[in-house]
Amino acid sequence: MNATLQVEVTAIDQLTPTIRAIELTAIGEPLPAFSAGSHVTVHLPTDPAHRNAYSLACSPSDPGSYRLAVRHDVAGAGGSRWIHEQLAEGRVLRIERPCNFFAPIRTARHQLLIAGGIGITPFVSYAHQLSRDAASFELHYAVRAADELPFLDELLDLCGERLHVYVDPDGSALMKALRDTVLTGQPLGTHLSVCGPGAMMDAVTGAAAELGWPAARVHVERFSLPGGERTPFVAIDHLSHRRIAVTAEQTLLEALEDAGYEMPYLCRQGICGQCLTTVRAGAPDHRDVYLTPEERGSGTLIMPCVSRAAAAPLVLELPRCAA
Amino acid sequence: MSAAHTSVPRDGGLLADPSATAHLVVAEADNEPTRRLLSELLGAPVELLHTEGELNRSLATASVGVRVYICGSEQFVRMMMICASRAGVTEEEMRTEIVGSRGRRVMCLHCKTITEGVSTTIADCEGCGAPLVVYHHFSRRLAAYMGYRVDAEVPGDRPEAEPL
Repeated sequence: MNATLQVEVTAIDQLTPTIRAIELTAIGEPLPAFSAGSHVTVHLPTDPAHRNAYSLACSPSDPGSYRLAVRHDVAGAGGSRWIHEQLAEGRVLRIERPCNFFAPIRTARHQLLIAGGIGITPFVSYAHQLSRDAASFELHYAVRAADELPFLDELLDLCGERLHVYVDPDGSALMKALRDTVLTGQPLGTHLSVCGPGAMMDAVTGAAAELGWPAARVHVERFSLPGGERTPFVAIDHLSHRRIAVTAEQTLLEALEDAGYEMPYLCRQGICGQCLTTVRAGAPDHRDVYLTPEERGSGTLIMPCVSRAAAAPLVLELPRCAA
Repeated sequence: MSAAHTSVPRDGGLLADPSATAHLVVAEADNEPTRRLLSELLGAPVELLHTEGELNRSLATASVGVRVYICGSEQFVRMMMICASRAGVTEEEMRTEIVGSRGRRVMCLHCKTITEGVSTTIADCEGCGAPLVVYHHFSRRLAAYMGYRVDAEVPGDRPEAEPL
């Protein structure tokens, strides 16, 4: 199911000095319903082209339009810069269908949600769904500065006293609250879900582990994977012996798609496992979070959406090639 | 069914988990693993419990971070596991060790009666009297092994019962 959706940008709203909300409305086919925590991958007409994943920060029950919130990431690959500097209302974009790697835990007796900065976006749809379902939850929302609090009024309406806001330039207020009360007084059957910058999620999950939270109760949404340097390398189709050059700007998956291979994919972030490919020879440089340590160690599997190769060519088992 | 996919709980022993913020130790009677655990947990917040009622009372006010350690006969351990999981404790948060009787609870698939203290591979159902194969399929909800009529496939074919 790789069919994409055509959408029009019908509103752009500068929520904070660094965060823009983008409203997307369907052209033709109505927008699919989605579940809380879902994201869409947006095709950005930047050069080189990017596909960035953004959480759907709106109510899942009435998807007349989708809303995304995008933080201006000056140091990023250029996707968010394009959205902040070039994107205008009326523009038509191509997006993938919604996909969810961060769904609420339906069996939880209580859900403890912790957001850092722009990591609030998946919890906007959570707040809509959980308050509608009368589920037991609380949301802790930490930001660096008081003018960086997107969705505050909407969240207050939905959550009331269940919303706890921390204006916390160095993250210490949130961590103190977590260690003193929030992580220590949760009833049995509580699940913890965290979304935010990598260092913040590591601090929260580290504190939870120290306070006896088993891994199965702790869930994270990573919106960036550990990067690492991107150097050019070569992939070889083990049947046709065709050589596919992967530039430093491309992912292996993009290079294979450009070469005409019909690769399966969903998340393009090393999470979902759809693009799993068999390696016949060469040493993969694994950058995904899908493969188990054993699978990585075997050297026979790779997630081409994020993983690469160091020097020697990678010989791969590939699907049919249209080109 | 391979051992890798068995539904039978694995009892990993009463290992103290130092990351826990509270420890509930449930012992059927005085036993060696429990004594050793209590000495390892000296100084930590520990409660020693013996009955389902005591365990339920403690779990009602427990928070995430607790570990539940259960030691006793197979039947005692499995019944206490049910009690803990109903209160919201996951198996990751339990440590179990069996001492004493390994007699099993077996549920007859035909009449749904649970026969307790079964220690042979084939045993008669206390409800309908059917000779049951004690199958290695375990229900965590009922704390019982599945039992089905030994000659269900070939009537009259009854191998000898052996100790479990």
